[in-house]
Amino acid sequence: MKKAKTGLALLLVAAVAGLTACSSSENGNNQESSASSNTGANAEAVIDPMAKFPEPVEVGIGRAIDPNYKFEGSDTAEDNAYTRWLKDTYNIVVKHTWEASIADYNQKVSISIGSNDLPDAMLVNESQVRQMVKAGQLADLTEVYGKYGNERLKQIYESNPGLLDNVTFDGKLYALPETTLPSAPLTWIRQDWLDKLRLQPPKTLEDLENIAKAFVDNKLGGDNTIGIIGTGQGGSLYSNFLASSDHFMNFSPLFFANDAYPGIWVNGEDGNAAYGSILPETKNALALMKGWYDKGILDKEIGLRKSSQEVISSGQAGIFFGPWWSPYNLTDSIKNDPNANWKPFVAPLDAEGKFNSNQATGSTFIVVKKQFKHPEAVIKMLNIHVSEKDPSYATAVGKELTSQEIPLFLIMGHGDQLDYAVNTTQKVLKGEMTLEQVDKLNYGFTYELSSHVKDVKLEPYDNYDIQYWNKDDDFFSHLYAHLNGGSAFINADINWVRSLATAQTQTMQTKWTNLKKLEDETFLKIIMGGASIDEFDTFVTKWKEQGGDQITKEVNELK
Amino acid sequence: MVEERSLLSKVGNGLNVVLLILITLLCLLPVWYTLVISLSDKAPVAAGQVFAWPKQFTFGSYMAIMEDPQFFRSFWISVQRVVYGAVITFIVVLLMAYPLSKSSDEFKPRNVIMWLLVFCMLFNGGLVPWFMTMRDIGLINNIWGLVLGGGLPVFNVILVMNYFRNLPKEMEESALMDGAGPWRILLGIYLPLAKPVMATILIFTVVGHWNEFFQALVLMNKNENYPLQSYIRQVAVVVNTSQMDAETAKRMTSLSNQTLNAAKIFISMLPLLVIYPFFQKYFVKGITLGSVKG
Repeated sequence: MKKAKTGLALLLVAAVAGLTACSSSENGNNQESSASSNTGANAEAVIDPMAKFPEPVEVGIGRAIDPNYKFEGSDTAEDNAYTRWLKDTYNIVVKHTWEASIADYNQKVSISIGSNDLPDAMLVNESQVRQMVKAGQLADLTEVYGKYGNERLKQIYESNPGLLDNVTFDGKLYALPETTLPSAPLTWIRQDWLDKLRLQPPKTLEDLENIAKAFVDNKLGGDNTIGIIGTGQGGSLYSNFLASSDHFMNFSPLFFANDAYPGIWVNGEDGNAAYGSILPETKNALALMKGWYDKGILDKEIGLRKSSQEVISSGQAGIFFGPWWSPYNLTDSIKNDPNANWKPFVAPLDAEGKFNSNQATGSTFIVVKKQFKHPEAVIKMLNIHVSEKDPSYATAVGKELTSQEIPLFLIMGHGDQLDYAVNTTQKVLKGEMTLEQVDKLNYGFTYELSSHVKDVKLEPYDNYDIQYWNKDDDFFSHLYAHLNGGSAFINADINWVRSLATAQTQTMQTKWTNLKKLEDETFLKIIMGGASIDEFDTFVTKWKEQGGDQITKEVNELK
Repeated sequence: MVEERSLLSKVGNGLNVVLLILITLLCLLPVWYTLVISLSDKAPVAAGQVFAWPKQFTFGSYMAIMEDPQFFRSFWISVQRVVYGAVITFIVVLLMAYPLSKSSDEFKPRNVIMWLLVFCMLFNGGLVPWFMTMRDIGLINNIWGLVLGGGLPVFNVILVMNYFRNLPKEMEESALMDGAGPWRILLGIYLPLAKPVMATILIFTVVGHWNEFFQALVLMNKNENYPLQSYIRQVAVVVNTSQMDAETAKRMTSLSNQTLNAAKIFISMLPLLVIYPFFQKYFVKGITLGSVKG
């Protein structure tokens, strides 16, 4: 029983990412606007974007299912508190045309597209959107979005410029993109190892180098101590514009601290778009990494290691780069070594003392089949998802739900969920706020965190060292991730760099795979010593010749 | 001289034994390793510290499986699939192979049919056309799609056909003399004689159906209709950390772990391990007998 309950709670977390009505409660402006749309005071169109359909409208969707997710009672992804509430309150009936597990979802989508056997609506990725637009399979949403999209939804898209432009082809809107959550790679270090050697936390690249060197020299992780562990087999050295939130266990920060942004499009010196990977800053970063590799600081098996995670769990390494939620993947490390005291550091800083990161951009889109008679139902579902909930929600559902309950789930919003979760939980822990004051309806997971925090966090409350935690509690990993990792992230002063392109351009469709391969292979070769650093210049020339110049031109036109 | 030779052959023998033991280990170790993982605690496994013997011995993974209704539902679907599949394949292969074992003088369209079969064996329409065909004949989302879709394995037909051709013609002739019809000859003479080869194709089919996971991923629209291997695949598939976000990370901590997956895989291996020995004695005989004559 207890187990089932935990499973449920665990997955509620997802809702932190998802429920978005949140900021409206804090922002007077927002509240007004969504209140007005709720009452149907949309004077221009005389259409109430939140009105109940007079007759039940059925929406058949393709759905990704997490086979490990535990629903409440006999609920399923197709029939649960949220879908029942949708039906009762709005007459929107969600049916599953097909289901597939998360791992197989993409394959199923591809077959759907290939056989033109589409559900009314589903979630797809960027290249699938393009494929479907080309095949003429998608409904033009321009008009329905204009008519039925409520103010809150439009506000979100307006506050994220470029999102809709990416999926507008010949002036027609073909998909609804997500906004996604902020993410940046922090430097995670074993504080207990730092203490053992009486070292100060790092600020600069040089500090980090010295710490890693000291860890290796003193064999803190055994004879085969690895200084900094990162990219493993099949992984990428850094996040790129197509996988922008890929921040776990790679070497992005070493580039960012050199003011280099490989893998994304930045503003070049002449004001035109430039690909970060071919700029001199990236060359500097690679030279630095080559040096570190030769000194034995970076993992010798970089890019080849089967499981970098294994190295962390076995206590062989004391430094890696990862986002705030990395502690979720540290539980095995802590279990194997109760002294493993992982701490996140907003480092290394660049020469000017700034902490840089690329900005994460979303990669999931709602698309609607061309023949579907009620595309407005899909828009309404998204309206409902992002807006303050109808009063009936409190009794019918009563809490935040996850992507497993909410059909066509997109991560939408202004991204204050983590801030609220961390700040509120800290306040409840210190007694500055009572549990009753937590906004349970809009921040259900924060409520869960807050109600467990006193069982899990021991005094002193503002010290997140591993010995001040009750590690046996089922909620430990959540609170440990949010307080230890989340607090460092939300308080960090981050200089965000957003890629000018967030999707593939025309020429990329045919050339990108090869260019990417050229890039990855050259960089790994340079770091591991198979090629000298001068190889970088050859790479730049080759990259430009093999289509890079053409692509850069196309990206420039996006600006 | 003679002694030397026997010494040499002794050494050779010894080498053979060692080599065979090594090969046996090569087959056994993965099974053993899976068992060891399934009986260990999650943390040492994640750290790569478990090799030949379980660490922090626990039945936790097996207990967790007992609480998972979908595991048993899928197990049952797999059993059904194997039974239906084996029966259907057995019948159609037998009925196909017998006429085809005749010469084209006796059975006129033989060569045409043979060509069709071989063509189907060598070429196929690809995934999407296959899916569309299955959809159009209504085999989506039900177990018959899995059973009928590959119900006539051409390779097995050829195997059985060649076996029949090797049987002495005189037997059939004498049976004809005695007034037996083709059905009687097939069921009363050929089938009993073909036990080894039929057992062989039966085990091929059973193993094939039991282990096949891909068709269900494509044909089934609901996860609850998945057979066991498809179900295990979707929970055991390794999450690529480069695509991981906060949500997946959260799920992974509690749910996705190697020990549980190993336990599921081990349980799924058991049925085959149990039935294999019974077919074993026919196995080699079946393949070689059928394959001599091309």
